[in-house]
Amino acid sequence: MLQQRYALITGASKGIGKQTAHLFAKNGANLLLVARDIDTLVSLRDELQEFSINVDIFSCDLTDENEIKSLFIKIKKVTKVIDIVVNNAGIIKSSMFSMTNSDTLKDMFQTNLYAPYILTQYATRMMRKSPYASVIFISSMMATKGGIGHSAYASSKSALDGMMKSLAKELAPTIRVNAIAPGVVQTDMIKTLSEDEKEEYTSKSLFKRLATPNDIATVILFLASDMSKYITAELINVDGGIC
Amino acid sequence: MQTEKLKQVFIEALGIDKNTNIENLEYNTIDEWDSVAHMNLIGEIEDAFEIMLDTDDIIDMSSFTKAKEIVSKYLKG
Repeated sequence: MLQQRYALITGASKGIGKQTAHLFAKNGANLLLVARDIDTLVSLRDELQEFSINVDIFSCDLTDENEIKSLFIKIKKVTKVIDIVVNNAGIIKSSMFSMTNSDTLKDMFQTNLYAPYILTQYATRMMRKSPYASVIFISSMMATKGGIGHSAYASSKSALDGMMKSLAKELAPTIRVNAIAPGVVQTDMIKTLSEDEKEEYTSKSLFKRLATPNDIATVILFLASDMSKYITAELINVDGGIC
Repeated sequence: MQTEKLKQVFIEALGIDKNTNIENLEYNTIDEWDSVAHMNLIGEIEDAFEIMLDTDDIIDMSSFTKAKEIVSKYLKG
């Protein structure tokens, strides 16, 4: 489905990013995997050796613009064209509105908005010659639904949704731009949730379970592939019908 | 500075006639050099000269003369 294409995935070392890397590899994509922790990326590259694809790994602190620039200088030595970008890296910190200081707010926006914004600026300069160009952002159901203790996180993801819609208009028809809004996914990020919250989200899901990374990765694959070639500026909820 | 090479990049990236007075070209003064074409031009300059431009320089690249100055800065390293 993605043969011969180069896909850049941020936050690739675990959770949704790691599962997406596996799914893309199964579908023939060459991978540019980005995360802070190079050791976990080395392990992941080893896991992906069974597939006949190129896997390049890059350690990068996406909150540092200079590191993002250096990342693309390195990527250009691997490929001149990027076909797919999955902006998956993100952070969540839970705190009540009155207990959220400006540093927490800035951290959240730095990682969840500024980093994908800057990274996508660089990436799209390498996507203009791709006939398959697709940018995918990982938003959150919190962006539109909100959540107690998640005002900072929800704000940053909501801003991401607005950026996605604008970017889709600016980059059409050359590059498609979409986002996925997962519900609560069984990854390290839900460590911030209490057991009561997990139970609440499980019971609210129409499937009576939390999402798996694969539930999200399959939709990422759909948006990355030609199956969605007439879809852009779209936010797809993958939240099990939580309302 | 490889002025002729940069001129060729402008001609190809913007799709303009080779007889255009490129030395006097300014952003948004011709139909071919709008905001969309600007990003294509940036990409072509980066590929041709094997450089990676900072966003501030992309914003500042408002004319061929300015482009020459900016690219020179990167080539001097």
